[in-house]
Amino acid sequence: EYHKVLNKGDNADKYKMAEEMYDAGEYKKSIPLFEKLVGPYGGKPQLERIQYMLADAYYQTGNYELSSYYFGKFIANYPGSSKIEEAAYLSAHSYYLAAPKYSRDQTDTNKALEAFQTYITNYPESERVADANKYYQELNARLEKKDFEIAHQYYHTEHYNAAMTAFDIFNEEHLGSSYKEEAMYFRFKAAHDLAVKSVLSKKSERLQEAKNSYDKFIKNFPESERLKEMNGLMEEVQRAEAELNEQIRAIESQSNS
Amino acid sequence: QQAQDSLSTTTIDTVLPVTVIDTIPKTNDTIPKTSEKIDLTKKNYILGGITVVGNETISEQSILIFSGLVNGQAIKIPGDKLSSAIKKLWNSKLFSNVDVYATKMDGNTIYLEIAVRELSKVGKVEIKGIKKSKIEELSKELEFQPGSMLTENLITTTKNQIADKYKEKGFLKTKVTISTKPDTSAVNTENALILIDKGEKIKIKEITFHDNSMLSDNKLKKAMKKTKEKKIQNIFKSSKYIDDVYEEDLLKVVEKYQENGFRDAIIVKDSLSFNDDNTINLDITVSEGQRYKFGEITFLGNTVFTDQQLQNILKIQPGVTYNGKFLNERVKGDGTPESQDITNTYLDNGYLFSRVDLVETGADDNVIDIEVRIVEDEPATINKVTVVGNDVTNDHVLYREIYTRPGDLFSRSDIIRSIRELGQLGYIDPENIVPDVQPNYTDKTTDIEYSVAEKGSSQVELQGGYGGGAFVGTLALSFNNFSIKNLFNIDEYKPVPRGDGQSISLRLQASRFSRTYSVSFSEPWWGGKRPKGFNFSVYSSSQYAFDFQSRDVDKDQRLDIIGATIGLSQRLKWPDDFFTLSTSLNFQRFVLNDFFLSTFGYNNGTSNNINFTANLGRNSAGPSPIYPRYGSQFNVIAEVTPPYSSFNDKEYINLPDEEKFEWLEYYKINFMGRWFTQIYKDLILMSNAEFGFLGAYNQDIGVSPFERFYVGGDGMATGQFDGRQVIALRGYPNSSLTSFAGGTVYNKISFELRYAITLKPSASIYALTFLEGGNSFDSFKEFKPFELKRSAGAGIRVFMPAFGLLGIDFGYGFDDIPGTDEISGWQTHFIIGQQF
Repeated sequence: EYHKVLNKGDNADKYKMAEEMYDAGEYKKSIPLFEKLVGPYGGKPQLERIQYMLADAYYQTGNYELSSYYFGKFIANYPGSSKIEEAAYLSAHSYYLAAPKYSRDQTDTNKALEAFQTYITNYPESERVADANKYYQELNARLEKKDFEIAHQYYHTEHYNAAMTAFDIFNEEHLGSSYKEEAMYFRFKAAHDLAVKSVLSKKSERLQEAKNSYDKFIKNFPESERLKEMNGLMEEVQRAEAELNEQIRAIESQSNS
Repeated sequence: QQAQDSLSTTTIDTVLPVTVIDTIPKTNDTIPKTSEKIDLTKKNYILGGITVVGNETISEQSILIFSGLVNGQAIKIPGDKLSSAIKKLWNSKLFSNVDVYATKMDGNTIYLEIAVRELSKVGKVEIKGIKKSKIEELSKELEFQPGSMLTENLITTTKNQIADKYKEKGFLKTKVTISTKPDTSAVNTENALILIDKGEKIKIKEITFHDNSMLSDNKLKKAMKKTKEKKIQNIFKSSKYIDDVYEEDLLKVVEKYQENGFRDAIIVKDSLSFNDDNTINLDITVSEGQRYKFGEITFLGNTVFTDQQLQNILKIQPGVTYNGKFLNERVKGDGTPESQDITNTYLDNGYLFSRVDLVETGADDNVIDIEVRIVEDEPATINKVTVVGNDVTNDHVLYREIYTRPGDLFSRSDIIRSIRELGQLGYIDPENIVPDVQPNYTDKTTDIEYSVAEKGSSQVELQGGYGGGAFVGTLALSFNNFSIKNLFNIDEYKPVPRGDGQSISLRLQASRFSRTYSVSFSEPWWGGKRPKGFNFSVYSSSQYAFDFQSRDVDKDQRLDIIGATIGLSQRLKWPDDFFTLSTSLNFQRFVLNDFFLSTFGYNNGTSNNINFTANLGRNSAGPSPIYPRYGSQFNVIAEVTPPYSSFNDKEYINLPDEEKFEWLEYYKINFMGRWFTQIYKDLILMSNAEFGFLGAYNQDIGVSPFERFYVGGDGMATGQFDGRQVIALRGYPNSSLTSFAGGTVYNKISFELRYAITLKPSASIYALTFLEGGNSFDSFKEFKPFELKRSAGAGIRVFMPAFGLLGIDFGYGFDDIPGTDEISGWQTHFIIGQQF
């Protein structure tokens, strides 16, 4: 009977059956019916309900790419709808569920962040705000992890200069990040490795940079557990500096004599 | 929109019942109706009610929503709200007419009527005048579809669209008419008939140049790349006339003059005349002007590079014929990624904000002095580097291939290198990598975002076939962007765990007479620190003999081979970072049980091959590994076994073969070189030279019967068990240029002209013609490097990610096949998989 209605039934039958399926939780079956109704009901008041149910059916069946798209469309078309708050939340949640893990393209993550942000601004009284906030923070942390891992990769592949720049940008862009301590720690390690392995002509400047990096860390995390290791590395920096000064003195005395 | 301009200013009359208070003309282009002007001051009203008339398919409620008017609201008449309501209705593009009337006035309350006329919709569309298959194609392209709103605009654009389409194909006299008539079965719907009269195809008969004395007619005709006369010598070129292309070609004529020093040359006039035989003549009058020379060239504003350095890049000496195009190319670039010009030299050294301008400072006595004015600005540092579009591949796999890194100076060539490296990965579409440079002028930094698109890279081969007198089943899986760490992570199975750039392949092949199993794995960045590749593979195969008495397979007569390879490869920094060194340790064990193999001197016994292989390669070819357009590939490969015979005191000369070859000893050297040269756009020349030599440590043992060279044919290695190296030489039957025992030295050169037909990610197709020669010899003493067996031919290659490379070549061998007196003649070769 379903296929008969789907293929041959008139629009009113399809509408009726789609709604029944939707109410009964048969979302997968309701989708093709709703999709066939979108055209014929164009410009008619029923379309509001159809669009909402179609978006929700996609959401319920786990097709979040499409549910985010249809909820977005619903929000744009029916700003006055009684379902608008729910749609706004589900749209954001769809983007959240569609977004892949941190190491892949984060376009959906950014869309989810934007959608949750708008939701929180528009419906501050809603009981869903707590959840929205939680997701918002989770997504933000995901972006932080992405940037942190990229910067860390520069360190791991021994592109120290790139790592230092990337960690600097990280700390500028993600104020108060939970990765801040780690970021500053690796920023120092990169500066240290670069300085210790440096060619003579740039050594002095790079040793200074390592010291600055260390000072900055101490200022922010005076109690850190990493300090023990870092102090050890700083000793190396100081030793290298002493050696460098020795070398410079030797060269100077040579050229004087 | 025009609606705004055509809103007529009308005022309201206190005398009711019906007065036009605002109106929209029927179509955009008719002149607005002017209504009688009745003087009335603006007044505020309360909207008491709205009625809608004239609507047929669109509900009253929808129209009210479109208008944005709500009962009970305050409204000024005339006023903004009413105007905007009409505008909104108009913008919905559903109506051909919108009028608003005041129907009743009750004190301060006003009642309005919105009278609309809905636009007709397109019903059935019929296209006539072209072939049926073309009708289908065309009807998909058109915006003119059943259900579209039938506006004048739609009719006009559709007519133009179709006419242009056919004019581009040379049907210069194409006429399109669209007639509509109401569909009686549906409301407000009109059926349409699109009538296309292509007329005859118009070709160019003659192109005549007037007033040209310095450059010949032929030279100028040649300069017109796509506008050609209908003549025998233009048989491969189209002689149809296309307006846009003709305009471009006129510019090419001017360019041709400019290249030859005539910088003032212009086209004075050009005309087109029809002949009776569906051809046209083109008449082009030029004014050549004088021929100029380069005078003094001065550089201004350069501090980073000296005049001499810039002069070396410019490559123009005072006194040579003026060539505006060349000058521009040397200063601003010729549009290719490899262009070495002044602007790009600055861009490669961080000067993203630099500007290079050309100024002609004097033109006395036909000598043009040039000033190259340079504003260097400060070098730009790269700030943030991002990748978007990687839905499958993890960041770390992509970022490690990118040469522009935070904190580095901006460099255009680093971006080009990054695109090449990403394109080489095999799972990123090389033709679709877009770098977006986002400069920030205030702090002299720039962000760079690479937009990439993933492409399928897994290959599945499941086939059954009839070969060697028996059914052969093959199952082969290869995944090129595998993620081994997610092997046990169910969430990542989509349908296999992907995204870490590893590759894994499995192959099972079985028939009545053989079994082969193999597994291999490779990780291009072992440990993630350096591009140090690791690979590992194991395989096992068994061959069974046919028993002629029982007419069945006899599994007691068999050849078993097991093998394993472990290898490391890494990119070198010296001499440059296109170099790679790969080394591998290989083990192979052959066990023969009453098994006859033609190249072996024994039927029972065991041979072991433990060898170490080193491959020094340089690969700068790019951008795509499937269709390289530039660069080169070189490989020097040495394969050596330990010299067992030096350590033991065996009298090898008297030993039977199974003992002589129990532990194989040999050394083998291969050299291969390939060059890719772009001839013109998608036309690429591939030149290839190769050489191989197999030697023995101990003359008592002689050269190993394994690992030999077999030259001739399609180059595909199938059904051999002795580690032979099969070398393609098209135009000759497979392995026909080598003696039965196999060659110990070979060389080969070939030239292949390739032309890309399409390079879409779903399928890359190119056509090729080749010229090649090669030969193999049984011993180095006989080696005559110039005695080559020659061939020529043509073919086609199709690469589809799901199937790999497929191709067919038709080759003609000019020389004798050894052992016969006949020249090889035409041979057909089918190619499956990549050839080397």
